[in-house]
Amino acid sequence: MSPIATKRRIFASIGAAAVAASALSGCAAGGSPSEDDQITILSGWQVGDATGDFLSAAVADFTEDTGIKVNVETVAFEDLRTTVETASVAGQMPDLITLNFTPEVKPWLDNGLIADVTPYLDEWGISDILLPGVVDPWWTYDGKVGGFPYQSGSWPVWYNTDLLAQAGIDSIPTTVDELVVAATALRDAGIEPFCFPGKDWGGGGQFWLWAQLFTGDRIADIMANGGFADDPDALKGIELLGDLRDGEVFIQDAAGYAYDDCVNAYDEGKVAIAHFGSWGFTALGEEVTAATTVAGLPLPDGAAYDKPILFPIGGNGLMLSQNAADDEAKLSLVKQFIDFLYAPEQLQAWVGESNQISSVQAAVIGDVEWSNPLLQQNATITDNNDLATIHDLYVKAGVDITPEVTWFIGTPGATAEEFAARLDQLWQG
Amino acid sequence: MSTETKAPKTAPPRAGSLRRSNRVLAFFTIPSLLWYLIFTIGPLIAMFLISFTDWTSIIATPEFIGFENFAEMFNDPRVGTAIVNTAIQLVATVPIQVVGGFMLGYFLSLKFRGHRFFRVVLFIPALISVAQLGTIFTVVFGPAGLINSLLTAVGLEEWTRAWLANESTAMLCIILVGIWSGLGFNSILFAARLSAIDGDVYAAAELDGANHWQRMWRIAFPISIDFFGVVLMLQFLWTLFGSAALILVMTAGGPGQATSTLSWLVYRFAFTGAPSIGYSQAIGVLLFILGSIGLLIIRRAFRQRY
Repeated sequence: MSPIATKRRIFASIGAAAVAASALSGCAAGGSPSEDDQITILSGWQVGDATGDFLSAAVADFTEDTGIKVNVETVAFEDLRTTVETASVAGQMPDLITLNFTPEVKPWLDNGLIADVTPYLDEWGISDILLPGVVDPWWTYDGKVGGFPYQSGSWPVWYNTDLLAQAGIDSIPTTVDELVVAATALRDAGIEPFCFPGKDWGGGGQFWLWAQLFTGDRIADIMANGGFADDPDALKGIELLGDLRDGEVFIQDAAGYAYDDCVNAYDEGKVAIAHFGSWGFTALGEEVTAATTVAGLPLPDGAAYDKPILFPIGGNGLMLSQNAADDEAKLSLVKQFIDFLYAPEQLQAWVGESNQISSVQAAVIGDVEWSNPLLQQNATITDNNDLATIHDLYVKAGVDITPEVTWFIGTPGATAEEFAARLDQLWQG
Repeated sequence: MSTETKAPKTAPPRAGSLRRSNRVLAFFTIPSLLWYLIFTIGPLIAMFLISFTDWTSIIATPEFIGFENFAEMFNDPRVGTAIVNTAIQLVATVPIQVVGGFMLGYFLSLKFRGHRFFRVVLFIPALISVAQLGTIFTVVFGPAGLINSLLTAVGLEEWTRAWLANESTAMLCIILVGIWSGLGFNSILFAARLSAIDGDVYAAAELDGANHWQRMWRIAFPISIDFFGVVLMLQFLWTLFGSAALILVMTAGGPGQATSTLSWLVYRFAFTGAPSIGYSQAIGVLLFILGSIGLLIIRRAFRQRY
């Protein structure tokens, strides 16, 4: 082991103890030690969910076909980051990790926890079968790719057409003016209009959609460096959001709603419009699913986009540990497993049985249909909607806008200038 | 006839044998001393060492940067806000928890009819984990929670709000939950101490015309002042160091910085966003110093004076 690695490990060990002693300790379960004849996976895909059940079945089939044992340890998504870093310090890194490539995990590449999979994407023939653009969320500024993309999707606006019809609205709003009319009609009918999850990351995500209505893809620069207060177009987007807040377009006490609260309110038919990711397509009740149309966020006059906008999302994939990449024998096992997962049979199970959106081209997957109507809608969603700039790719690591979004949504009358000043401070910290 | 018995005389131990005996006893304390050094003093020293480093996460290599973290800390408005919030939380929470707990404990110590039932009721919050506590009160203060439902039911709908998401009410909610969870526990502690006071003392005071208030503060309080100081010290330290857990579950420091305390910042910078463990530990050092000063003041102010 190099002196730097030794120093890092010693420091990490006492540091972990100190941090745990002076703050709340995170989940410290590590992955199982990697053995030469087996593959270890640390997964956020929970057994009982479609993704976790898919992985369990795939692992069983793979072991039966090849005789290679795969040891899957499941951890809650919110604990995965801490678990991986603790496992790394303990020298127990799993070979593969199922996770999405957020700014918070990008340092794993720089610090040698996970491997740049660029050569494997080409050598193993995966680049050839992926959909255009699905690698983008896995790409870093210095040209590395953080993992094998497996899931893809979108983060659109969901409209309950039954509730809209009850309020006398027959079509999905495509302009902000139409949205305001719909919201007023819904309120008059006793239905909450638009759920803004102001309490957590869901509100942060939705904010970025509003913020780029007038900036277009220039928002990427603000995501990276801040500068709301100096950008009139960004201010216009925030001002519009404030107007809609004060105009009661959003659910009452929106600042107190978390993303899951909005999901529940939408699923129970208490709110007509919400902004959810495609990962939740299969989580709704049948009646609400049948009544739902997914589309983009309505545009105001003078918007930088031509059609309503929605986020493309990278979704989960498989990260390869640097240890496994450096071990020829282990890499060979991993290659067999990756080949197995990207084979048409498994991709068909991912789409047809688990109702997930694949990162692979439809022609490769073969003839398979989604049973979920929302997934069917999603397949053609970009025909009538534009793709927005997703913040996960650009926001400076460590900047968490959620508390400020909570404040803005929960403070009637708060101005765009006040909010912009508070946001810009986050980038200076 | 005298029935006096004489106690057998024993020779005092010789100094040499006493020293040998002490050395043997000291030898047996080595394992616990080692344990204490490794797991208590070790992390404390590590906290100070790490506070002088730029260390972005436990997977990165730390770099020694001297006092830079401390210089940044004193110019960081987030730390300033957190100091103010911490002071508000301490001033609003600790006196009510301790003084209220003492008063409740006094009445429990009188062993009135049904006091056992009230002891159980008052102790229940201590049986609820912080995670559960936070979850329960997140729902209670939620937009469709108990508070808003009650206000709506009594016709005060215009008073409803997202209590935890409102800058003017979020810290109040954290303080109320802290008081709720600590008051009953303290009362049980005080009741245990005050039960040891001889009932004749109260009876004598009653004959002299002292009412409950006078007996509580002129008799029970001076007798148990050292214990009062211990409970005050513990509550001060728990609130100062432990507020992060409740804040994590209920508000994550928001809205804005409304519920961001020093304890929360230690967690926030160590574990969320792009971690800065060195900076987190520098704030930890500040907390340690504030805690030590508070502890010394409380010990000095609540010494037994007879």
